Amino acid sequence: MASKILVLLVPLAAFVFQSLFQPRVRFGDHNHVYNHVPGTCRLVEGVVHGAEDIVRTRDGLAFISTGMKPPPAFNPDPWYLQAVGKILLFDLKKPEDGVRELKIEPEEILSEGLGPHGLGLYENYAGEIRLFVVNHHKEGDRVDIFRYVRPEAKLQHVRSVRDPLLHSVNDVLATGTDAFFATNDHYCHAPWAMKLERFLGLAWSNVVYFNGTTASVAADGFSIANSIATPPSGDLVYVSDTLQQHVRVFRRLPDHSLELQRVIPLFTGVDNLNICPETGDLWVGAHPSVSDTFSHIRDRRHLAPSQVLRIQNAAGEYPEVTELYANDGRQLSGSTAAVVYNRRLLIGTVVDTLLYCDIMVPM
Amino acid sequence: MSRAVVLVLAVASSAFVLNHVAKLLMATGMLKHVYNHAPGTCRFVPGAEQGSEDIAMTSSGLAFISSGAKKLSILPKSVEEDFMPHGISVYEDDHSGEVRLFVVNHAKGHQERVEIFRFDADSNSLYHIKSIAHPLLYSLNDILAIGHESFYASNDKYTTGLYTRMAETWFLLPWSNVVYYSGGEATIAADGLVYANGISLSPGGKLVYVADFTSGVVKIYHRRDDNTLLFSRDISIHSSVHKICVDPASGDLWVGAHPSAFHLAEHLKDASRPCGSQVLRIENPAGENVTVTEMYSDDGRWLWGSSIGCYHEKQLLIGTINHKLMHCTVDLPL
Repeated sequence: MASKILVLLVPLAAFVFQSLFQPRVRFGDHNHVYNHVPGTCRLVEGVVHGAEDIVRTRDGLAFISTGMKPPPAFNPDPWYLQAVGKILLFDLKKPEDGVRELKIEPEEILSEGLGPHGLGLYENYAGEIRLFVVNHHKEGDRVDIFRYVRPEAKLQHVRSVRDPLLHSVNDVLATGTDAFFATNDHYCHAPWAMKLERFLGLAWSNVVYFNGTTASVAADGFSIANSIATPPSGDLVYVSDTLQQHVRVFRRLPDHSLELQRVIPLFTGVDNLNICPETGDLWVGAHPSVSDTFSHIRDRRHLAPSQVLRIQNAAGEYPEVTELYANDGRQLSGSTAAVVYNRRLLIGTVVDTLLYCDIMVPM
Repeated sequence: MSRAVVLVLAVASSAFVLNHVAKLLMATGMLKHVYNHAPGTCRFVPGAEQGSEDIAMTSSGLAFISSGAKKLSILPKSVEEDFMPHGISVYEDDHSGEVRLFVVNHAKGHQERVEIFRFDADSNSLYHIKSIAHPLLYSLNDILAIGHESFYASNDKYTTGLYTRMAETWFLLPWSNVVYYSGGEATIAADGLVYANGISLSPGGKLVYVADFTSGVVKIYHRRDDNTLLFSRDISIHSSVHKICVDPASGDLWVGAHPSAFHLAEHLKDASRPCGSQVLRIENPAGENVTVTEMYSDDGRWLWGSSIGCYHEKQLLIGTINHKLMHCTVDLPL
């Protein structure tokens, strides 16, 4: 009898142990986060409801999305629901000026309630700057395309793109004045289904391409396709998968579908990607412990670790990964994005603040 | 009824075993991923390729390094023939200016000794003064010189046999200790450690810091007038802590650590296998707000098996058990 019990017990214990540990390893509970900075860092004043995504122009103008309200599926802390969605501007040539809120025309966009998430930037050599904003509008997810009017520091709405294929949009990568790639971070719609999708690690998240008129699926099979970036050459596309803890490197085919080349494992909850236009380096905002970030969203007092990674030679066979910033949550919780311009670093978070650092270590 | 008892016992014991396995996994750092970053520009110091396990610094910034390769002249030469150095410590006599070096020697035939040398700067030599052996000094690791011939020493394990020592490790047995020796007498100053490694002294001489390698903590003890140690607190490092270097100017602790004891063990078996390195800085170790900052981290890209990091005036010297010696500028604000 005892041997029968053991025969049952051992595999049961193993299964329980494995399923208890596996998601925890995936969610990053096992790694202790050590604090370190690349130089002097300070919080940017006036940003209290997150800075989920940051993109910058070639001359150091950073656009920041703030005030994202976490969806009900995450049981968010009521404090976050007081947030008002906005787009902020931070000039990395003049960091002492801090952030300013950008005017948006028409006003209805803001008064209706802007739910900004990921950002994409289109910049051409004629000087036109377009900001693509993932908007969790109350009527459904859409991508709003704005023209940035520099002298008046305002965003002029051009068009809103809605499509059945854009249903759980996280980030957007502009590829033309009206064209873009977008990530859908989940397949399911219902909150309980999204939770299950994450916990079971179902790989149903995808990347969609919009050519200006129609949308199509460009790649799928992601656990959580989060962010998307492309080097200046435009032939490759990088997509981060938060739960699989890596960046996928794709070759962009003529029909805009994506062909997987290789994967860059990062062993952390990868969030937003930014490309340095001068060097091609990938700047990565990440969550060393995704489960702590989720807890932080449920309760703002719960701290979540933060991390910024730099990937050199991302397109090559042997990318080099350096950790530029790490924090256990006491200085910054839930980092999502990072941009660098001229040894100046900006780090954004889901629902916390915005951090500015002067980089003193050699680059 | 008895079936239920058997079931309960089976579940309880498997839970206990699983929990112990989990503790071991965490202690070995096998699940950890190590990232790379440096505080400034780093380069290898030429001429130190066979390890630099311990570094002892004088107040003027002169560093003694215990290494597989012996570079300083040791006199008399006969001492060199039976010399396998491990932990070292510097004793500076404020009145006479004499600099003494205490070295743990794993001499031939499993003899554990402490060798005391006098350093002669003019001839760059170490003159042997005395060998100290005592039954309580049986598994020596590091040493902390307190007086001309008195010191604290760590015994990293209790037993000396190969398999019993392995058992001590795998069962996480807390049988390691710290001994105080003076004038021919030795006493156990602190025990209950799992693997006492580096020992260091605070600038005022009132606190003794001991690295517990397997537990991944720095233990802080108050040093009483009679040289006994009173346990104060643990600072968790979550890495295998090796040796501690105290910055005399700030009282900060600079700790050399191994992010993964598992990979370190592989590296020690085969020196061509890489392993990671880590140097941490602990500010305000005895105070209310202890701050731990990771100053250097390496997954094996450059430096393998860091055991110690010593800071002096915007420079960091990192020693390894079996690899090279690294010098970094510290460009970060401290």
